[in-house]
Amino acid sequence: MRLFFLLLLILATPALAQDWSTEEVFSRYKAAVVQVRIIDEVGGEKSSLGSGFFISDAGEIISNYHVIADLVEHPGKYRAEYVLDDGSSGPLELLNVDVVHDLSLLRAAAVRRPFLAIESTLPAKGERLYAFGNPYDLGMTIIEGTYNGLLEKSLYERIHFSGSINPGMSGGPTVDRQGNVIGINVATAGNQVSFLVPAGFVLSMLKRVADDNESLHERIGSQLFANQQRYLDELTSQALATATLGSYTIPGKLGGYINCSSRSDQSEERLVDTVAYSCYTDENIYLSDQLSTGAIRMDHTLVSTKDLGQLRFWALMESSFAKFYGGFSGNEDNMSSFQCQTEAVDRGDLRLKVVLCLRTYKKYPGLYDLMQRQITLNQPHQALTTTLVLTGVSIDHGLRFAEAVLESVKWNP
Amino acid sequence: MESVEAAKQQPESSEAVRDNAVLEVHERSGALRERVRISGEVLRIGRALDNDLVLEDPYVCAHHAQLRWGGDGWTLVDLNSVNGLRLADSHQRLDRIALSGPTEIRVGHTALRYRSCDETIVGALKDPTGGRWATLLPRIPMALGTAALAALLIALQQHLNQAEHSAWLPAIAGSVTSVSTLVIWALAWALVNRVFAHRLNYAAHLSIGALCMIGALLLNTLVEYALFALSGDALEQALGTLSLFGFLAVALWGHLGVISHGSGVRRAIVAVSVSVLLYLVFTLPQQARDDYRSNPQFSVLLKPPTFQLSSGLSTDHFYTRAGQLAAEVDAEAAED
Repeated sequence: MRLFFLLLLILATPALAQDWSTEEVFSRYKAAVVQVRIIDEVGGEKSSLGSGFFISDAGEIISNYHVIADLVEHPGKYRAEYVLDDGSSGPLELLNVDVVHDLSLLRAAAVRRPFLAIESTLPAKGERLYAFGNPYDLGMTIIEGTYNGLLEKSLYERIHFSGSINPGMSGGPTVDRQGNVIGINVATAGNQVSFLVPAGFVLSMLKRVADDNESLHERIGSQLFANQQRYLDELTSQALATATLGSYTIPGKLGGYINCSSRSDQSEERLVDTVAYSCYTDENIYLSDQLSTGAIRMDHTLVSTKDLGQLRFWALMESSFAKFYGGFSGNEDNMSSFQCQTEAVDRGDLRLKVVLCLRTYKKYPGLYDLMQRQITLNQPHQALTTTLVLTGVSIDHGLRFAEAVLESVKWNP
Repeated sequence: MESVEAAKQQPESSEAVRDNAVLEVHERSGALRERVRISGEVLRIGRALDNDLVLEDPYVCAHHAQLRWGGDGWTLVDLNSVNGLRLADSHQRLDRIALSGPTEIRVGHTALRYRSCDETIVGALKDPTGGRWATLLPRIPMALGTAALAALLIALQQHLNQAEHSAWLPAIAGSVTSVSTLVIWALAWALVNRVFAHRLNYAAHLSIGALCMIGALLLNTLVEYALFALSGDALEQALGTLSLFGFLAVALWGHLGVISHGSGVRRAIVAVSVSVLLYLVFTLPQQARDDYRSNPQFSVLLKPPTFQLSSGLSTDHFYTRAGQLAAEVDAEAAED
């Protein structure tokens, strides 16, 4: 499932214990919602748009990280501005970010506006919610939708909002009838399937005291490190869940947030039978328009033949093993080149050839993208290829998980 | 060798001296056109047909000069010609030139060289065309046989890389393409041969090209299996490149040998130099471009498991090395 980031906005005063119509909700809270504009310093025009909302009378504004990421990635090249519902505008200052949950804290100095209350308690499934924002720069908009609970298959907590969030609404608030912020608009999958960041994470970000001696990149690096530590520690704290592929035991659906699918190809035209089993996480962490991280992907392909001789079969495996596309993002400004090592590994019960490739994040030292591709060498007419891709992991956690994956592959004669 | 010793014998009488010289006529390019043994008292030189030495040169007069015996030596005398006589290394016009030793004279646009028959003659070169390979290579059955073997090996290699039922069709197509390239390669060398040695020698060039192609294929396969057996994947690219450009050097050495029977060492130096130059031409631009690739690039040797001879690393050892790899990645990032 592909997610498209977007955005919106709204207004409100602290929670009111009354039910309001959509028209009343819009008129009461629109003053707390702003459009967030990222301006190119050279051209002087907007380069991207999003939404945000006031959370205090000190001019503090919440938006998405992906709305203001250019300020972090290209400091000095861009500046941020707010535009109020009355058309007035002013500069925004970036105070803090939470890249894992795609949140940012901004401040509009000397601006006093109505603000919205954050509600960390999730509503009942089916409750009506209202998303605010400025889609496609068309003006302040309210979208009515339904709360449909938290996503079950997600590494990063997300609210499933059945309403049509569109580009430009990212960072805007989604409120209940009382004007309490339930979530922050973040993404859509189209057809009224949209996603919100639970508002509770805003409170978590506000509680974290920013260290003035720490640069934004160091702060983001710490967040990414803690995040990968959280899910990789959990994954490696016990034996990996396994599945069966032919005569092999393989690491399978490792957690509820991991999607797995399988596909087989036994075409008579080809002289080999192929069974593929893939597991992957749906979401990445957005760092910039050229780089995202935080993904887990694992592909197993079992290829066997009854018709091919050994020479032809292994020539085919050699050719297909080298054909690998990992879909890695990034460029030379933010990532080093991959370096790989290739070795035969003897586990006693199983012999494999293993390629392990690493590259590091130039702006976030200590974090790596890891690719491990291995193939079994124990059968003359059958081979299991396993590919593991981890992005944004520490070397200790990454290698520990890669080793667990390698050790989990077993041959059951 | 007998002729050399005879040439070294000293003449004893003045008649012997008189009759012991030759006059060579050279083209402007330096190529020898004619050699005349000098005898009698006078040798007439000119464009007219009644001369003893007729020169087909529009810058030579009908009766241009005479070579006269003076009792103790020969003298070339100008007969009031339009362009006169000149020594080869001088622009000064001369009326008479006494010939006491090897002398080069310009008559019109023709070069004459006076030589004594006593000049030492160097020993004969050994004929390299008499060797076994030199005899076999130019033979048409050899050329066709090696080309056919190369075609068969390429088709076999292509066949091994296909997993479809119709695997022979693309294999044959690949083989035809490779052999066509070989045929054109041999033709190019034959044309070079024709220009420099006045003959095509196509069969020899085709044999050399095919043998080198076969050698490269077999060596490459052998190297791949050896590296797989010993888990030496890391060396594959380097050895593959060495094998390719090594066989290119061997091919160049062979082709040059067919064209010119000069020194084998000199040919080897030329062949290796050209191969190294081609390697640099093909690889340096790629290295200089240094395109960033966001996906990992690797190649792995995979052969039937029974060919693997060495034991693999333990899992612990493998991940210890991966830790070292991370340090290398960090070092490279720090350099950037």
